[in-house]
Amino acid sequence: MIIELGHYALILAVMTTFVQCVFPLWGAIRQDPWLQSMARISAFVTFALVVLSYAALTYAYLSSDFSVANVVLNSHSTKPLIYKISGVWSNHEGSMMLWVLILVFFAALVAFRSDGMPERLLASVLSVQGAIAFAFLIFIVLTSNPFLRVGDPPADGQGLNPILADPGLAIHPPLLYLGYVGFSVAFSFAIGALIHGRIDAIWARFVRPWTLLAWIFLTLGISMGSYWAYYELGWGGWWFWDPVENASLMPWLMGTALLHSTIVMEKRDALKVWTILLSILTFSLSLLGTFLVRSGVITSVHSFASDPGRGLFILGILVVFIGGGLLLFALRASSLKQGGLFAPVSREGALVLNNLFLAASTVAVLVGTLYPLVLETFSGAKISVGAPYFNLTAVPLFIILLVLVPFGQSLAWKRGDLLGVMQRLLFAFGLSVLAALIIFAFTTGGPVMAPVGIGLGLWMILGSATDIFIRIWPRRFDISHIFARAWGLPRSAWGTALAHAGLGISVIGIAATAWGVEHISLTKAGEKIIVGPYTVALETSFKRSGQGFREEGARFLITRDDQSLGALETSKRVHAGREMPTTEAGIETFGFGQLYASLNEILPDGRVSVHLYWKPLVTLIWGGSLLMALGGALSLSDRRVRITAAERVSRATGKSRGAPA
Amino acid sequence: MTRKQKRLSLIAAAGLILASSAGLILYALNDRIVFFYTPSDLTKQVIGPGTRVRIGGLVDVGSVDKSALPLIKFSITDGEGKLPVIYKGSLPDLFREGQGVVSEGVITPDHVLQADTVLAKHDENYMPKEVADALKEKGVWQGGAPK
Amino acid sequence: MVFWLLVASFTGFTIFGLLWPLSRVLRHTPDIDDRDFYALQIANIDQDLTRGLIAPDAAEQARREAARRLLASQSEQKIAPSDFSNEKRRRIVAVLLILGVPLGAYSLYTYTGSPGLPDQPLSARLEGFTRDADLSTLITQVEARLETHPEDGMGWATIAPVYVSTGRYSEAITAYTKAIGLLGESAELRSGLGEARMAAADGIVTADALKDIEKALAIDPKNQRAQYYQAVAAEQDGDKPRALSLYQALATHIPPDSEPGQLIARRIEALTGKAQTALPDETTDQGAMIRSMVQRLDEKLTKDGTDLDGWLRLMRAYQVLGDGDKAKAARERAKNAFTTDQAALAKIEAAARDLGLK
Repeated sequence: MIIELGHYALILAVMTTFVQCVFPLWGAIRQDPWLQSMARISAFVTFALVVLSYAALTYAYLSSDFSVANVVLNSHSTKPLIYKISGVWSNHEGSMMLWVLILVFFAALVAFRSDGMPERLLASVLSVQGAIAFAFLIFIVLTSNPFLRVGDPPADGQGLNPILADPGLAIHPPLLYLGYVGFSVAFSFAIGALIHGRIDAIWARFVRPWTLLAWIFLTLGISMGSYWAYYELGWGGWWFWDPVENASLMPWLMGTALLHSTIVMEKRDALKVWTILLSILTFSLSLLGTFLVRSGVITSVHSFASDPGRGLFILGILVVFIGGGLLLFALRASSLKQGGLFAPVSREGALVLNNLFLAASTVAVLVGTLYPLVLETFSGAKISVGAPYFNLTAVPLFIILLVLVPFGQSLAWKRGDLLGVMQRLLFAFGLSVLAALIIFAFTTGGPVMAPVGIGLGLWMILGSATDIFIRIWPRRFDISHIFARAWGLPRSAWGTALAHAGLGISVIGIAATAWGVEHISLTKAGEKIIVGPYTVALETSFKRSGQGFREEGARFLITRDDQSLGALETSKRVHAGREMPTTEAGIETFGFGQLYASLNEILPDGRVSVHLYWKPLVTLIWGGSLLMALGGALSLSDRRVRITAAERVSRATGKSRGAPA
Repeated sequence: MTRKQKRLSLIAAAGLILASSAGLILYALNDRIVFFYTPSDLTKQVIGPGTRVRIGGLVDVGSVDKSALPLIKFSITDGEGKLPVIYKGSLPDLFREGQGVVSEGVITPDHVLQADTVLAKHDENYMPKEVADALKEKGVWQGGAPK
Repeated sequence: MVFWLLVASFTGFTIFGLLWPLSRVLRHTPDIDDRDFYALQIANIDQDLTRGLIAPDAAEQARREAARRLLASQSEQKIAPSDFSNEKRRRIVAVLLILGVPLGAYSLYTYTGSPGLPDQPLSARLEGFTRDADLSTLITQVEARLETHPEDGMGWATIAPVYVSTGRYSEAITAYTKAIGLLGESAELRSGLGEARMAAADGIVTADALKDIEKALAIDPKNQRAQYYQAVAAEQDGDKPRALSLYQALATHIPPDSEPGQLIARRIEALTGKAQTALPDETTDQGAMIRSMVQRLDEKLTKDGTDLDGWLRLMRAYQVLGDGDKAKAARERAKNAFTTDQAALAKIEAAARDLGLK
């Protein structure tokens, strides 16, 4: 009964999102405050219904209710608890449920935090959110319904795809979806504002925290996905320029551009048209990402659940929202008034450059992702666009962008003093170049790009440090002054510096992969294999079984200069309910680098074929992106970024304002 | 600078960046893409030495030779043609005889694919799309649409 | 009933929630408008200035710009009068909601849902049949043994049907193949292999599966599983007459009220084009005949109550005939006949539960 009630709640949510979409919009157009005020409550009701429905589905997984087809296909009674929970979103139907859950969660959050927002804007924004939720709920109910039942329940389920049974993947999709879907708020704000007719600095101030929140989650999601691919696929790679990865990278690039352009809009009332366009495009790319992953139009190492029929439905949703959004934009953009002026050399100018480079690299990634599809459709030729293409197109754009970042960070608003900035950054610049040169001189045989990358990363870090340093260094040296000023510095300034430094750290990690060592060998017990600075020797191979799986694996001992440093274990695992084996990579972290072992095969004579890697500084890639997310969180916690009722009240005290009846 | 000059300099910068990235994209699309073939395509088409290609088909049953591990030899077949592959590296977990596979690398003068990448389907239901299309054309494989 | 009450209350609460704002007396909270925003911006500039984060002249410039924009926005603001008095529109919305939401939700739900179908959590289902140990633990144990003793043909033969029932068809195929290799050909294993192949092909009797079934029949023409799938194969080939005759031949050997018997009966009905027959009633000859058969069974069991299967059949027959009271009475009589036999009592209770006897 719980399950059927969950199903019914989902269908009621279809109804309430319809209400949320239609009536508040009517109210916004007709200026009817009662209809407008339906927006908030319907967002809450929808959220409650979808939560109920999602909880019912989770209950079906937890109780191993095999009368639910979705549970039969994706769960198994022996699965550990965490995978029964993550099993809900490990498949198409459940992941769409999660997608919608997050979408209506954001709508409810907007409604909840809406204090002080013009009612008419709020009604339009929530109406657009309702429309998106309605489209996806209909999609779920009609084509991907997770509540379909089977009359004759089998004794056990067919298990979760074991490659997905992993703690990393258990939290990867929710984070990624929080990012993807979070940008729907910016989209709704843009459409709402176009309907509403007023777009100004206040609008930017409302939209900025949402963009930032979505960006933080997307950053974490991508980084988590990359780490998952790194240790779960057992190929030792962390980014494959795979369509599904690109699908998440594109909204991130666009979202990063949006993040920066909303700052300009809030501070200077400029770049309005561009920011609105970015808001629409960022969410469009999120939708495109959903479409690419879900439709099966593109071959991918990650596409585990796809179906062309459903793809067509999502394509329809895509056309309606992207097309509709852009059409509305085209109709209304000309009515937007241009805002503040600025000189080309200024903070605004730098942010425009940032936006241009990010947009250009998004286009490069988009073309690389879609070109094979287009070419196949029109000429029938089948091609694949891989790392060489992206290294030649997106990567140079990234590099120029990175070089420019510290300048932009240090330039003043409106009219900047490039010479002064250069003087201030001279130390950081010199140090980075010097470091790159020294590394280049002392490493032989490595690729040239590695020292350049290290220098670039250092430049980002030192540039951010310089910026903070100059802001907190008092005219008269006094240590207590420095602390006071550091404390007084807005958190968003710290956030910016931290995020940029995090990016620099990631760049260093990426650059250092060029010095990685990889070794495929067929080895017997005791034989020494030299992997970078370490020596690895096979100790023994083993067979064992754990909860829900059996595995056979090999254990290696690690030494360095005859010092024992522990062991590496790698295995092939077969999960109950599936016959497909998965490779469990063995990873041991030393400093920031990692030794990585991936089992290929254990021969009957006891010899072991294994792929060994030494990856110096590799953890910096994900560490840096965590710092970026942390920087974003720090900015978000700045009261000056969020707008709160308390602040408004304190600001308005003394000014008595007549509340219109 | 006047308002007009400011705007012009912005537009010029934007134009420059967009034009140069468009140039890069076009160049890379000509130069850095890899074409997909089936083994029987190769009998009709001549591939220049050193050109990277992607070959898709089924792993020929009985062709996997691991006697020289870590070097692995196998053949890719599409029912008509057959192409031997030499690969040093880790095979994907789902690599099986008789199953779909995509392999990327360079074809040597003695008509062997020196592969550096081997991709297999990613779960029991999934067949790489290009492979599925190619095999359907040849009538070797009659599955439904890849799920 | 409880289910529909809950559905109704869900719907009610939802509509109530959605309509609630329409009935409210609106209390208009002031929006953040330009005055607040620019005041805040100017305050932030002042704050930065006192902390020495920006230079005084830059602060002055920024402050001037904020003030300028505040003035500009004030002059352009045209506040359209809010439409406060349209009660008619609110009534329309209320009616639309009260009618539309239940209607839409009900029709969509009856289209996609399975109204009232109870949850079937595994733990509850497991109570239904005695199971000494968790099935999957057993599977794992057998698998572990087979790994060390791959020559154990009986082991493979044991686990193969378990694989089929748990949906691991390709492993079932491997297990059957190994069992046949080790134990030699048998009709049971061959037909099992055929079944596994068929299941792996989503219920299609493939050429391979058919070969196995034919082999099974060559060994033992009376193997019922093989006969059944042979019939299914014929049906899938579109050879209806042959399928029908095969099913009918099979039906003569199988008690019609057993589960396979009913399955076959359904196939025969489908092939002969008869719709699912309604419950036989006394007005037709057939109904009368069935009644008299049940009557005879009843009399027989009254005389000699040791036939457990007979009792179970009687309970089922009465239930199917729609005579719940007699079915319940049959259960009580059966229980009286087996007062000391715990196993038999459990079976009777289980059967009664299956039949839905309260």
